Amino acid sequence: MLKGSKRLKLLATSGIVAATSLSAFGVAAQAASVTDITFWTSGSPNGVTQIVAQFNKAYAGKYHIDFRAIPYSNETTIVNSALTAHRGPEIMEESLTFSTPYAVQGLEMPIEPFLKAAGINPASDFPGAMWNGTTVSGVHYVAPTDGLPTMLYWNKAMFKAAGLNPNNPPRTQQQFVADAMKLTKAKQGVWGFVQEPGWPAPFEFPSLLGQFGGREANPATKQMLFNSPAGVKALTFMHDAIFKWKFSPQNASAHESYNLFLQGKNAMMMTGAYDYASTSQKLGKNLGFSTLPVIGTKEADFLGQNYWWVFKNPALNATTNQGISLFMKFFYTHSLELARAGVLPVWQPTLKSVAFKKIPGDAAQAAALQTGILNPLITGWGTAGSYLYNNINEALIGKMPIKQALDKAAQDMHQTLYQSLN
Amino acid sequence: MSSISPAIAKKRVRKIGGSPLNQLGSFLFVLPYLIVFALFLAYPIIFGISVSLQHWNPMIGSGGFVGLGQYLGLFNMQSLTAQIFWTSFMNTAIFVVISVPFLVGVPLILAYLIYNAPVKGFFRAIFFFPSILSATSVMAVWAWLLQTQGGPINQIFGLHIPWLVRQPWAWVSIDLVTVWWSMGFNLIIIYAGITQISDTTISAAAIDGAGFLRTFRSIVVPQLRNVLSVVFIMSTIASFNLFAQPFLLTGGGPGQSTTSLSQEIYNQGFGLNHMGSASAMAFMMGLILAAVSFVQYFMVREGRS
Amino acid sequence: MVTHKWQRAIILVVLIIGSIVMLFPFAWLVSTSLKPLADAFDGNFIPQHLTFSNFTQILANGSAASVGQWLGNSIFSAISTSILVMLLDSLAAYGLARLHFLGKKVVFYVLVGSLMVPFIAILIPLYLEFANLNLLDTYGALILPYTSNAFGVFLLYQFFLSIPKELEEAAIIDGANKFQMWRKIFLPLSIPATATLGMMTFMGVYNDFFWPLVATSSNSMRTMTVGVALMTIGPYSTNYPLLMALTIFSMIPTLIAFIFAQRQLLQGVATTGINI
Repeated sequence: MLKGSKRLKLLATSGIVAATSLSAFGVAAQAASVTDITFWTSGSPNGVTQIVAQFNKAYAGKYHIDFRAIPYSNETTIVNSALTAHRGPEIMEESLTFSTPYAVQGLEMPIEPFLKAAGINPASDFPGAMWNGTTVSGVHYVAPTDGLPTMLYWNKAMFKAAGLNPNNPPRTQQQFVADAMKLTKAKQGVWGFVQEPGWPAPFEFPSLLGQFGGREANPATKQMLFNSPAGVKALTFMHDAIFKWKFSPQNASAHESYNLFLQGKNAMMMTGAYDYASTSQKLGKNLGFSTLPVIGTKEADFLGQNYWWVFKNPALNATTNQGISLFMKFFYTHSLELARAGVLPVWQPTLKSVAFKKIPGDAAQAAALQTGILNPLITGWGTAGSYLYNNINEALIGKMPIKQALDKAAQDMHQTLYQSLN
Repeated sequence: MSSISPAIAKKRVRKIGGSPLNQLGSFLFVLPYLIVFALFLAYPIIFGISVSLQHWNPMIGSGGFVGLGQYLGLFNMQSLTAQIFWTSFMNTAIFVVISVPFLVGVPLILAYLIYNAPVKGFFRAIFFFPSILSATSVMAVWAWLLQTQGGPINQIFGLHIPWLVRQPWAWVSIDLVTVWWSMGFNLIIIYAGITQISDTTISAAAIDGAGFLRTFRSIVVPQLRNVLSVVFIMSTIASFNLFAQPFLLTGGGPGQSTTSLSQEIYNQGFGLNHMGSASAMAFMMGLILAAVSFVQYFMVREGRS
Repeated sequence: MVTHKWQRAIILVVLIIGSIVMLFPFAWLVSTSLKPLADAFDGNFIPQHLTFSNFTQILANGSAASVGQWLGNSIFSAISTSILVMLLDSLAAYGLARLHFLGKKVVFYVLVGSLMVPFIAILIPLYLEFANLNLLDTYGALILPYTSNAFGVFLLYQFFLSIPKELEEAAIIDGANKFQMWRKIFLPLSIPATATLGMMTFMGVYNDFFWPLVATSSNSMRTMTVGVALMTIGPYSTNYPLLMALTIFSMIPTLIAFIFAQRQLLQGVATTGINI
């Protein structure tokens, strides 16, 4: 063993090293003449990093964007702790659901003055589906930054092998069911479609609900609406895929739809556009990618999304406000960078540009923006939504009747959102 | 070792119990730790208790004092908060009951086997190894291994078990992964304990004709009581704090049958912004845990004497 | 104590089978790290398109500086914390287990009680405290909160209790004072336990994700775990092959710490032999 005294010395010196380093690494000082604007995002930093770097270069010596990416699943912890200590960012980008509580608590600035100062006309510069109705008490606090629609993926080689036209994916429920059954060879473990009881229901269910003419909730009347006949029809389709038509296996695990799709054992997926990069890498020309078929009565695609807003902050003044407007404009006009990084921009001039239309996969996604639907702007929707998906889960493993599952979810969610504390 | 004379024994008592000055000298050993404890644990805990007595929204801070209301609310079974608390508490309790015996028993047996095996260092490293991997990557691999249709485990053994999708398999899977992932620490603590039982004690038992199993039962386990009580209590605490395994493996399902208490506390505090009631839930959990550990600790210690 | 050859053989067989079970998932982890994203879970153990790009990506151009910095931050804070914890906890455990002072029992139960408090209950208070001390986003935030954990005191306390009284008494006869007794008897005798504690602290700090995520904001103060999460986990999908590669990459320091601690464990065996 080490000699006692030698060991002790080692312990003591390292302790001093640890202690002195604490004072040595204090908060870094900032250059005075430049106006700093902090910008945090829990969205994908892909593309954004490049735009921020370009902005900081273009406005060097005047404005500097302090950019920080935070992991999606921990965003509220980080942002709320920072807000409690009055260390929140000036600009925050998160998904729409997370923006609502801050607006309700009066912590966000109305966004329209910033857009106006930047010469942005939101009604024509953003897709209508992403701007209209995104208000809290009638005020726009947030503006969209990117979108992520629910898409149909199909394996063209499997379509060919089953005697189907690989370039003619199903467009109606009838076609979808017929094709899926034709593609299924259950004994060999080959499926037309894999309906997971868990993920990606948060993309699939709201899409189908919208297609049957329903909506999740009405913020104004505080009513849950997903247990309507439209909701029952949507969930019945998901249920029947497994238990009636049997073109989907029972008890599929999370991500099994995707894994089997990559292995050529699942012919179709209805999920967010996030799997485009990896599936196109794997399937190459055999990947089909389009907006969803009409399972209900009309087109509708749930949109994953990010929005940004400006936090109320005593440090805001004319100079910072101008910088924020400049940056927003710069971000949108450079949003082709997002598309290049695999993120779907929501700036109409970019969406209409020739350069954008040349990027594979993006044009198909842009089409879905026109029929996009969003989650309702209700505080706590993201967390309370776990009731909905837990109960959908019970229905899809055959443990609870469909209507009962949705009613139970509606009751619990309503209680969580409106009857608990606060 | 010769027995000590009464005179020396008296001297020892005086030396160790001692005058106030002597006691102060003894206290100085504890003082440095107590300073960091006071600053970085006791103070936040007291602050946290005060949060649990208020309406507290993490975005804007205190929203008024409510006293014990949020604690009492956990016993009002009409409220959803109470239902959530006790449902997830029961889920967590199930996990504690099915995981702690394995988290103590398996490493105890393994430590003794390794102690008696060649290449001890090698085996210790192997069985400890999974503990150094991060939760995210470990759970990602297991989530894949345990898939129903194409998962390697079902394929290799020709099974069709819905490991992560149906009960009771979901608990079996979470338990299995937890033991695999986190028994390493207990293993090395217990192993360190075995090395501290002197070789002479163990050899003496061998000379007395005690076999492999009898030595384990009548020498090793009793001598390890102090160490095992730490392992037992730390495993109980760790299991009560269950979070990552169901979060990443089953998503809390099927239904909400594997949703853990920590997960619900987190949702309450940061998802629904009721930090005050989340803190009350957390301290209530701490109280229950303290009661359980208290009983455990004295059971293990009584067992010794 | 193991007298029969067949007993040794059985032990060996059991341990070898156990080892295979332990390593099987890790083998899949390694295999995944050698695949392109699209093949991550394609069902093949042997990668169809073997690639080292996940590993080269870690060290490539832009990210190289960052990964080095994150790793440095993690190692520095983990080592500093471990040393502080071993020293503070060993002294405190000795005081509590072997010395006497007024209120000792109360102190012990308060410390053990603090183990029961879930971290989430003190997250906001701790954050506010560090904000007020102006220590957020510094090494102070990455080290100090971990030094207060009572686990080490509790662990060493139990080990010190089982050290025979006779050793202490012999030292008293030799005229050793309390500090010398700690240094010459309790510290050396508890090397296996102290090394275990040091390693557990190292790993606890090195692998912690939640606190460094909340308490640091600049890229230069980021730790490895936070960096890994940012590099691999997107809002809806995770780059698993890159995550696995980063996992393998970032476990190297822990592995070294473990090997170092192993040596201390073996030395512990050697010293106890001469005790009684």
